[in-house]
Amino acid sequence: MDISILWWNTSLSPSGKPDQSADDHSNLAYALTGALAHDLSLDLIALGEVSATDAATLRTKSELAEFTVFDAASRAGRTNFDLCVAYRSSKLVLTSDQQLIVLRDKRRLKLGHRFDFAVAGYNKKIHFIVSHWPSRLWAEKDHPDRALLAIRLRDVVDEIFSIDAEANIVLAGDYNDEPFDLSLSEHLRATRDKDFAQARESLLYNPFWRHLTTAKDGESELAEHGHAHAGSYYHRAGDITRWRTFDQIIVSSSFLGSGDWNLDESRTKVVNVPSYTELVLKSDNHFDHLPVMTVFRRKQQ
Amino acid sequence: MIDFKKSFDLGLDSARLAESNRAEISAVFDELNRQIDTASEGKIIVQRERFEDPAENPFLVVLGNRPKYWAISARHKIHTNAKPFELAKWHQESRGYPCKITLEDTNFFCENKEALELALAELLQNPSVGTAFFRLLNYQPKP
Repeated sequence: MDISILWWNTSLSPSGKPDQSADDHSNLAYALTGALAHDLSLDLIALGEVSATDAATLRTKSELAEFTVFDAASRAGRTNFDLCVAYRSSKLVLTSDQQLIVLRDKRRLKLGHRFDFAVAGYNKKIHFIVSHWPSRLWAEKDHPDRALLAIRLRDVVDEIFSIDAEANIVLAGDYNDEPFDLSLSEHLRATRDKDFAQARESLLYNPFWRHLTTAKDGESELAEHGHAHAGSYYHRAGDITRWRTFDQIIVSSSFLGSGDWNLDESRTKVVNVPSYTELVLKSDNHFDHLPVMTVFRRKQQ
Repeated sequence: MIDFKKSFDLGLDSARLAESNRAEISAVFDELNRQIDTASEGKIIVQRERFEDPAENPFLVVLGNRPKYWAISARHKIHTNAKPFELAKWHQESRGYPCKITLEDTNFFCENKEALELALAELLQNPSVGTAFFRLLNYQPKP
């Protein structure tokens, strides 16, 4: 059994600007979500910068007929979350969910949204925590808020580990930080070193260290896809680089072969759909993130 | 040689800070109760207390070892035998902060006094908490 997971910051409805997108952009995002679900055989899709309206529309899409769409955006109370998840109903059952909010002084920092899933034919849960951390416009690189968010996310991970040291934990989202930034590498303890993560179960493994730039040389990428990319987020006014790997999926060591699952590195990637990547590279629309995905394969019993 | 004296001093400083933080947290609840006491005409008190987990392992329950957890509760101040209402789950680090309030499906990690005040203010505005207060205000002991 495989479980395939995708995260995509859609840029449709940022929390400060709900439903900002024109209909054609929204329709394109809905259509792309459906196409990705089908073409990549996805089981769990987490979307960022979506509104309750977007979630309601996704529920009507025939390509997502086998999915349950959970709208986390309209359940956020006083804090504006902008997330939704869609999960394949035949494979996953949502058993609980919790919003995670850090309060410091009078400010609210959105840590993430935790979803606990039961898996058909499997006796343990998958704990899935989706985050969309503040933009660097509001909290620059190495800002204390970034360290605080990572430390608190680590606390949530440790709380799960305190109940089951071999828990299946998946973190996904747009952290507005890259794998090498202190928040993720040091405070969250998401390592590039897969063997070390297997040996030391408290470490998390971040496969997106591999995706700081294109996996292939530029010519191959261009020949295959029509567009090269060097990360998941395109920032056309970038100084040193226009690409950053802000979107990541990070896993506990139980997905690295020592537990019940194997991570399929070949299907863990930034998703380059040429016609969509072309839009990301243009300046006449809101799209600026490519989706990222991963796949876990259940080990034979 | 390792500087044990420095470690000793740091330990004492940590203990003082933790004590100060715990006193500050208690002061926030004191102020909350001062205002609630006025608003409820002396009928309601909000406190932190331990509850037994009703959904735990039945074998532990049979053995009388039902797990307990901390929660923020509301009680009738005069009719002390009246059933308390659990308003939210509560977790406090030994150093005081962060303290975590779990209100329905939301976890608030409170990093300091202002944050705790903000979370408690939000808690008081929650409909289920309002319902608990309403019931306590209208509580009539059985004759």
